[in-house]
Amino acid sequence: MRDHELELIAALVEGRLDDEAEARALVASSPEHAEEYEAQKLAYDTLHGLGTVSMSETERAALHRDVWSALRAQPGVKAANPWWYRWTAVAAALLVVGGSAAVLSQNLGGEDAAQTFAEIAAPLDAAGESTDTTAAAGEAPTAASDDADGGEDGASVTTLDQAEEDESPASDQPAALYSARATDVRQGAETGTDLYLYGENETVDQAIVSCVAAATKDAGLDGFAVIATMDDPDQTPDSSTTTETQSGEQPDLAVASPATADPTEAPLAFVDLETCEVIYLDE
Amino acid sequence: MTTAAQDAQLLARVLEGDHEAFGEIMRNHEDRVFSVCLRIMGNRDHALDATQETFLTAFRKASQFQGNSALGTWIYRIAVNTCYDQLRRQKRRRADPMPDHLDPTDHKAEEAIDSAGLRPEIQSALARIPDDFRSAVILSDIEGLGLPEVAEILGIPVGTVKSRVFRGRRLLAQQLGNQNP
Repeated sequence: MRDHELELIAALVEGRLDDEAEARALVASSPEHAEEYEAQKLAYDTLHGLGTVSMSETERAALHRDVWSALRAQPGVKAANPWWYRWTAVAAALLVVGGSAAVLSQNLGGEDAAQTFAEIAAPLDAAGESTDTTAAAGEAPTAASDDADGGEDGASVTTLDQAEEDESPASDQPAALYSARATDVRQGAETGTDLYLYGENETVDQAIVSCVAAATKDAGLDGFAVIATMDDPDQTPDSSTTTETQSGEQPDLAVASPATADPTEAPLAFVDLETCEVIYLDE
Repeated sequence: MTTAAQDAQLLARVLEGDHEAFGEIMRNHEDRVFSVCLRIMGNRDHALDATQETFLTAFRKASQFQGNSALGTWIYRIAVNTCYDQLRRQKRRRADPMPDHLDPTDHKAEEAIDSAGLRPEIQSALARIPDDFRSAVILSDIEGLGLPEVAEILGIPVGTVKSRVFRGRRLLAQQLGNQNP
């Protein structure tokens, strides 16, 4: 069968011909052509009516969560870290400083211990601003005391600080911020313009519902429902980047509580709507 | 559906570090990508994995997009290649060239096919034709793309697309006919 004939049959099957006479005559001209036409039409008609298949909202939320989780691991990608990242860093730093100070106070005592404490703390304070901090953080405790085990902890602190070097050090108390917003939610105080409390019979956007469902399920929280949305209080507006979320078009966070409990007393889960993860739980 | 100019603007913002723009690109194209992956893979979980991998690849290679085609076409191409890679990995893991989850005699496999949102006999028939022909008929006859766009996505001449669509339909009809003698 020649190419022209195959094209004509294909065009007839697909309904692209204004005048089908020539194609119809070709199909009728031989059993081979008729058989080819029937096969092409069967396949085309079978597939053509299938249509596009969409993701369910749960699948969509899972896709977004997994993509952003994977991207977060890549350098230069700015995405919200879980709240406990920052507190792990703070706790590790306190352990190093406190442990070193305790050992030193035993060995040195008095003014010498206080002075050495400051010497230890100084490199750790500077760790978040330095790009090559691992060695610095590790060196200070080691130099101060052979017994201080600050190397590993110092490295972990500096790695996490380096990942968050874009964030303002002054705003590095997210738990306090979220706790304050939790109080606002419990008191029903829509402070500013970003906290929005849903009414009892008010419909929540399905994408938000699905995201919160996926996040709370992953966190082992059963039966949590959306009660409010807000912008992330931990984000400092950066004039050098586009921050559409901060302009009010799309909230950053959802707040959820157990559906059957009194929100004024029940735990509140703060969910990042970009990554669909619980970033803070206020109990 | 976004225009080419809108997509180009979004991609430019992604390259400047605006990751919200990438989120918007994903939202604009994720349904079409998932649909194609689902038709090729025949399983929702595998299709979701392929969709995820598609967008991760698109993010990593964003700087390589030269604008010679529409952004959607470029993303589609990544999706098809990603599916091919996953199918090859699946086939290497199985001695039987027919993926287990598409074996119509397996009850669990039928559930998987049903979950894909397709009629089992159609997906089974599609799975039995070569990958190259399958992707051509999926893009042309299910997704409704024109032959020039299919050619760009598959990286082959339009004439080759025509040939693959024609032969793919013929093979598919044979498979459908074999299922209903």
